Amino acid sequence: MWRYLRDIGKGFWSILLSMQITLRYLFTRAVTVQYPEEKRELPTRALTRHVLTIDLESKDLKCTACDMCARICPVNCIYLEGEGKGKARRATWFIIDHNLCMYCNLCVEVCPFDAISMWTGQYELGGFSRTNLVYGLDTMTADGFYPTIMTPRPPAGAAVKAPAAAGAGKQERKG
Amino acid sequence: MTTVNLQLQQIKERAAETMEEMWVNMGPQHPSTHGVLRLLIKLDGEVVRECIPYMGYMHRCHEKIGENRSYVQIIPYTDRLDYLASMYNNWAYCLGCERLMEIQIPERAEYLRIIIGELQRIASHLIWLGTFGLDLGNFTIFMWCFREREMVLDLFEAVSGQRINYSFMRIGGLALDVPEGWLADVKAFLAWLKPRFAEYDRLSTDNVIWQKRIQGVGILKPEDAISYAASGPMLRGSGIQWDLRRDDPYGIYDRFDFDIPIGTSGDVWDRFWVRRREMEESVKIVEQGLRDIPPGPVLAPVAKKLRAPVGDIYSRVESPRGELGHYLIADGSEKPYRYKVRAPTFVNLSALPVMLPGCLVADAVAVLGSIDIVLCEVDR
Repeated sequence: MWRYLRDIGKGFWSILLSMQITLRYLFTRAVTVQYPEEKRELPTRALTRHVLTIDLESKDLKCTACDMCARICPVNCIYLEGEGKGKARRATWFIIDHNLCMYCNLCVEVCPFDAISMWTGQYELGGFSRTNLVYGLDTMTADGFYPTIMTPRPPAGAAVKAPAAAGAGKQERKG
Repeated sequence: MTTVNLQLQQIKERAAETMEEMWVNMGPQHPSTHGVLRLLIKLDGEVVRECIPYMGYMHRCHEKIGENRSYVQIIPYTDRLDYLASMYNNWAYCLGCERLMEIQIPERAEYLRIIIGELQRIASHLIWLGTFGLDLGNFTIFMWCFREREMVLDLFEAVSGQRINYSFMRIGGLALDVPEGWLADVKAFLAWLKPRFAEYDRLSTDNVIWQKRIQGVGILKPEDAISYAASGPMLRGSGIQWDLRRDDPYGIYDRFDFDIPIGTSGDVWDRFWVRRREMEESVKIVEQGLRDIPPGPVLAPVAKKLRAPVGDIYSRVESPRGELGHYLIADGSEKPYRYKVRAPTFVNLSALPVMLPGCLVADAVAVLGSIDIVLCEVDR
């Protein structure tokens, strides 16, 4: 009987000790972020959505449709076709199915021209249909400059403009 | 009157035959099974008599997929095994490929792998401690552990761009070097983390209710632990000092100085206490790594198309859950001929029928939580 009461007393005492720490945290700043209103800053390397980068001088896509990214992709989510020979070769259509993408960054690493990047900072990719996540050449083409592995930060003066909104569903060439 | 009595008698007899012990399904959709695990439990009142774990609800043909992918392409798939410690899956797989192809990885990559790996161990043990507290009804510690785990995930996000499935290690080193100032961030995180252990202790370890709940429950004897091939904190909790980081050093672990905490009786408390102290040892290892890390490249020069010579390799690392092994048979082509994963939680889970008999149902949750299962790895 005495031991039983002592155990109850000890239990209460240890709860009080824990509550002391918990109470202290009542007066500190919250570590959480109220997401839709506030957004935390993403690191530069955050893998978000694919984008095809543009050569700043000629304003052309860097991609030469060499098919390296499509071959390394473990889930075969990249489909592309190109026209032309050698350095003049350009992609005629280029589709990435983001429903399949597993964000491994292998396509970016394997690209010899830094023509594709996942460091875009756009992570709100939700849409109402699956075809919204299938990106084609016009939704993947960035109007501005995007950082790649070789070029970690944009040069001063280069305007970083967002590409066409991901959820717009403009591109539905191939499901 | 007599017929009523007779009926009552019959009901009682039947109850004695059928109701005394009964088989109950726990899971597959049960909040405390950490995924889809089905336990068939034979109950006598509230006491568990037998337990049969059924797994395979999340079988994804990981090994078969691996046989149809090239060596580099398997790396993102290994993330999906043990999603709480993805770096270790990458590490075990890449280590096997490097040994098979005889690639020497740069010094800086070795150090970074150990720093990242031990941070991952801290994160994994933190989430284990949190969910274990949740199993026992201690909700506060869950929130606190997640707070520190988020910090580790932020560090990993700065490095690899991902928060769970990193795919950061490559055959021959790491995908990228760490960004500028990242090592200082790790140091700051460790400085924040070290005083937190005392708080966790105040909240859980010193709590009498917590102690009474898990001491002497779910005992796994050392001989049982060995015969069931348990590894990791399960084995060390039973009092056997076996740690691959010391006993079969991979990478450069032989240069680091750390202790291997072991338990005494092999109950749930010992497993808890081993993991809790392992976090402090990991902090020690990371600090040594930060002190000694040299500059240099992080990726060895490797061919674009990797072909392994004919042969086989079994590479194992000490993941937070035990011995994680990847077995590869190469036939000289771009793809492995056979690929097998030795999942630590799968092996540890099979020791559950030894630990559960004699426990109460409420303790069964604690025992299951103490194994630290990840069902994605169990089922593969």
